[in-house]
Amino acid sequence: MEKITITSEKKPKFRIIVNITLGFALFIGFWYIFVFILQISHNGISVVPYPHDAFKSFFFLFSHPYDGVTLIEHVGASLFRVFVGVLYAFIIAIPLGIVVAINPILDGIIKPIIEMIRPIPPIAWIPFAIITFGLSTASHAFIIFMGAFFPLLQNIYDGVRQSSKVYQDVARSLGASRSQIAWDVILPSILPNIITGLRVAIGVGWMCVIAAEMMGISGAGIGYFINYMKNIGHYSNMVAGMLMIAIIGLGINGIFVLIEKYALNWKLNQ
Amino acid sequence: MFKINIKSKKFMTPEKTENLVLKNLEFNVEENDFMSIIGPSGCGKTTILRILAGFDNDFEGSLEYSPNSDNNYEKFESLGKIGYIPQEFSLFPWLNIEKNIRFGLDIKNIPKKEQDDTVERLLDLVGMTEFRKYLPHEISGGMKQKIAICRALAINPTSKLIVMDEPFSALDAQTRNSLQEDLLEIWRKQKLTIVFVTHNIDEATFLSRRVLVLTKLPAKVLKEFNIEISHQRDRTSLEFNKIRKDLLSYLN
Ligand SMILES: Nc1ncnc2c1ncn2[C@@H]1O[C@H](COP(=O)(O)OP(=O)(O)OP(=O)(O)O)[C@@H](O)[C@H]1O
Ligand SMILES: [Mg+2]
Repeated sequence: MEKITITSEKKPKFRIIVNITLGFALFIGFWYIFVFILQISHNGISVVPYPHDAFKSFFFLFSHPYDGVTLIEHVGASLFRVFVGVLYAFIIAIPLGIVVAINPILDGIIKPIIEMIRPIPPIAWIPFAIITFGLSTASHAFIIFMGAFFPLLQNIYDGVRQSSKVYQDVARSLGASRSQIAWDVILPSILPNIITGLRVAIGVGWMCVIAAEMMGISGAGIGYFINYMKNIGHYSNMVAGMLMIAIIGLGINGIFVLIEKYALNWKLNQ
Repeated sequence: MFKINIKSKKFMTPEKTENLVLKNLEFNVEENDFMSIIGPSGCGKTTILRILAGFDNDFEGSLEYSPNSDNNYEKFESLGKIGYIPQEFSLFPWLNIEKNIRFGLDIKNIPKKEQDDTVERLLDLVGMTEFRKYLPHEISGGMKQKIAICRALAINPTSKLIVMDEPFSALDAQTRNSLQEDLLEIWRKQKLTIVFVTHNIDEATFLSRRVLVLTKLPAKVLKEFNIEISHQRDRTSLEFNKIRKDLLSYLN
């Protein structure tokens, strides 16, 4: 009989590295095959660059500005817009989420408004943003706000609703006032929901900013860059821009994994 | 001494009718008492405790306290002044053990030094000094309830009164028995006053000086037992089983 070994939950580090490398190699492999097939079927010409060309452009763009703007500056512009939009969403969603979740009357009034606006995709707000705010940071921030606000609000609302009554009771019995309960009990207990909400909000915001930039609200940003490279036919630069988006996405995700691991240790193990 | 007099306590049912839960329920809690409340499921034990703990003011009747035994009773506001231990594990999961115990002191802005002394003394009382930095999910269920007791004691409740709502029901039988012994020891050492709600007749018999047996809805006191045998009770003794049988006969 064959012996069945039970592998432990925690994979060794090198195993993880091997897996990632393998996955990456597979992806690059498919990419090559894809471009190769395109070439064959289009008489030897492929508009999609090979991975090595894309990576070459990617690294080249780090040190060589295109039209005076580096790739990093484009990314910075996009990230700043996301930051502003999400910040506004955050500032409004946290108190609103808490208040609406606690107060049934406000819940009754505000819920319908929210449910009416929520189904409109943030991208559908682009023309509205342009005629209202012009071609400005405010325009971008508004679109990102529309994308980021609802997931944040929903997470905070759910958090307060699920926040255990028991903790509030105990705090009251220990003499906590209403505001102490809000700050010292409800807020820490919904911290995981706030983090999750932020994670989703930033993800959505990042998508929105790229879409907005591609719609040509402004002359900077990674979305603008990609679209511009497409228009002038510089496809390896275009793909390099897409690679940049992937890397930023990974980075943001990594930051949240760390936050959850260290700051929300208590929640993960509950 | 505490005097509890609940003339009536009603809840609204979902069908918008009144549900009279407690009616003419009266009892006293004396200094250093250990009183258990038992009764059929759903008879209003938790409701009584929530009134006693000050969470629920929506009832007819009064909660009074007299510091001496001179019958000078005054209206008593419980919030912030008596200890409350719910059935569920209730330690704040985002705070470590030490900070949980500190919570009631922190919100009252008690000086740090005084807080440290209290935390030290209470951790020592339950023999958990080395667990001070642990998070609640890192300790056992029995330990959690001990720390919950520490946290309640930290605010130095009036007459050291602690009300407990089936505090050990989430624990396995063995842990439960050993926690009952720990609780008695703390009660004795600290001269606590305890009101203890339980389903478990064995538990009530083991712990209490007095047992209130409640009737079905609307609940009132059916019978008040004094348990005369001294503590260090032997669960297998004849006396113990006789009391248990008596209690049981009233419950049915
Ligand atoms: N918040 C509430 N709203 C409406 N009815 C309630 C509420 N809390 C309790 N009741 C009703 O009051 C009665 C007593 O409930 P309570 O929880 O006090 O009983 P209990 O003796 O603690 O029960 P158990 O032994 O199951 O813990 C029940 O009929 C219950 O339906
Ligand atoms: Mg109950």
